[in-house]
Amino acid sequence: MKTNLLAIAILCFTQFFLNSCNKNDFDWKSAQELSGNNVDIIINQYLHNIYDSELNQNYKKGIKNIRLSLDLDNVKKIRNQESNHESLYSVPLKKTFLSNNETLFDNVKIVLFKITKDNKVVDAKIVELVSNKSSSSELELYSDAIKIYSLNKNRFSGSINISSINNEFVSEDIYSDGKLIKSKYLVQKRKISTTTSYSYSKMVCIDWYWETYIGNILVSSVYVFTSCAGNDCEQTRVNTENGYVTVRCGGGGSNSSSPSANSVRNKVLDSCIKNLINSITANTNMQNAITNILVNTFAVSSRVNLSFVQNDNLVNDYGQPINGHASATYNNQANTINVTVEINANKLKNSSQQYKSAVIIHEIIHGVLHTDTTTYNGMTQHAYILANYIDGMSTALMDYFPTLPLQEARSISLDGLGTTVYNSQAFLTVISNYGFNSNSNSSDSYFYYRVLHEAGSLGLICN
Amino acid sequence: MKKSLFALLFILFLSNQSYCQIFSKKIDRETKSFLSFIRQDLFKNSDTLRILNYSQNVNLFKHVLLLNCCDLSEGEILNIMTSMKKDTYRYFGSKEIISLNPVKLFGKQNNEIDIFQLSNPIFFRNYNMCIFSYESSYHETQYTYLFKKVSKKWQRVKQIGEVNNY
Repeated sequence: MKTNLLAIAILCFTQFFLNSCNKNDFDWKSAQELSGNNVDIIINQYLHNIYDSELNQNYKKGIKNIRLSLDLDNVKKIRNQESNHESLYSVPLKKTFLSNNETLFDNVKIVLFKITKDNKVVDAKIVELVSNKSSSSELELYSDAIKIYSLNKNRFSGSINISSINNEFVSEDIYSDGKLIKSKYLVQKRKISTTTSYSYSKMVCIDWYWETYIGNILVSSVYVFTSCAGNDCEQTRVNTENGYVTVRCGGGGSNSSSPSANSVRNKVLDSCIKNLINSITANTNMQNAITNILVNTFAVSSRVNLSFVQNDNLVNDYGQPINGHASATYNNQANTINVTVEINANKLKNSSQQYKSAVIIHEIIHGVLHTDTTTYNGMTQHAYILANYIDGMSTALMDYFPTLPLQEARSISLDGLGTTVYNSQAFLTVISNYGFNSNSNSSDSYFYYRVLHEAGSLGLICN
Repeated sequence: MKKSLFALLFILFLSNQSYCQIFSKKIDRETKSFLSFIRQDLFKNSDTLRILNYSQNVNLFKHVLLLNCCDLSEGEILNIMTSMKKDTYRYFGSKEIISLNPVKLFGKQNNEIDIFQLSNPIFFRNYNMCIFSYESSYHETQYTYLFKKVSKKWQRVKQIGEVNNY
């Protein structure tokens, strides 16, 4: 008996040393041990990404201001949300942070970052605590904020103003002795006006309301004001109990309907891509499909002028070739969106017509999204495209290429979204809903058809 | 009886240690050799290479289609996939390896963002082939390449994966 036990002990001991072999190589350390110590890097990367994708100079300035004002030495993990593998972190904002009206703030502000287990920021909000007690110290207010968002008991009385990372007002929560009494949101309700201000579209206005909730029950909805396309909404301010709230609705977006490519300039030299652009923009079905894409999630009243140019040297600023790029300007006076799409024909030279078309549509969507960042407030353009456009793009592609199977259309529509999106839980959910996986050895992987179409091994090739 | 069992245990312990050392030295040598090569190959246009001070495979090797790409056996594909997906270790040896060339390493306290994340090289066929991936978090792009050794020198064969951001 003793001998048997000893033999088992020897086996276990041997197994232990064999298994420990890899871990002792060089200076390996488990990612699990280290994750959580890099929150400042993750936050910086997130801010840099949204700064990079933001075209509105004021917003860029705001994001830069946040980055410079974040007190990253005092990052605090507030809580883990086990159900969705996310953690909430708070970072105090230094007093150097300027609010929208560019004045130094007096109240305590923190930024809350929701970070997934794979180290991606999925949400960020600026939180401002306005205490009813004039004697509350900064330290007390920080402590209250931590307690509130870690769901611990607190005695805070006052209001908490929550803004997006772009510093746009989202909601106001009123607390009394640590209990949430009510929440107020500024919400928009779209209405189509009977006035036809433009020959090609109806005017759509937005009514803005204060909605107050007590315990998730809507208790009041108070009309505040109306904004319509063409209004200079950047300047619109609403007087609230707690001061001013800036509301932005410029850019001609989100205010009306019936977008269409009112003029198309196709300066692309590559005959294959040139013909695809002509077909896409002239084909009624295709244009309707694109129109539907834009109308459904981005109602545009403005005239959309599309220009396509060929740039075979199109690279990112590290010199890596990219398929395409879109830029846009909005002419407030003429209510016109001018979208310029650059296409890298050299990078696409081997690709199928379907893949090239997907790139063209992807860039058109970027172009229009550039003109109104409020549409995807708090999201990157690619996250917004994932959430709203993939089905529309797939339908548009199948409309134009009737023999293109749905899964192939989805696969190529999912291209070009960048690593942040591909690492997100939202993306995993989307591909799972589509019946895709992410395995390198599976024809059901979401990139399987994309790889083949991009290489020209599948799909129609231009002669 | 007891004495002989303890002797056996001691021998096993020693042999395991020496096995680990040989194994460790081999990977160490090959990794250093490979990373020195890619500094001169993939990153030759970077005057100063800006990388995280560790390499790891988490979230790298995306969009790599091993089917029909590289003439791999089923077993090789499964082994490579395991390294791509399951290897979560961080290797902190890059400093010594690439420091012959201008390199800027960034740790967790940095405020810089435009830096590369390198994968650990995945060796197979007795260290004669390798798959390597890197990501630019700033550009949100990722590239994966296949390499092979010819006359004891590494050569880039082809790109086998790309995460686009456009």
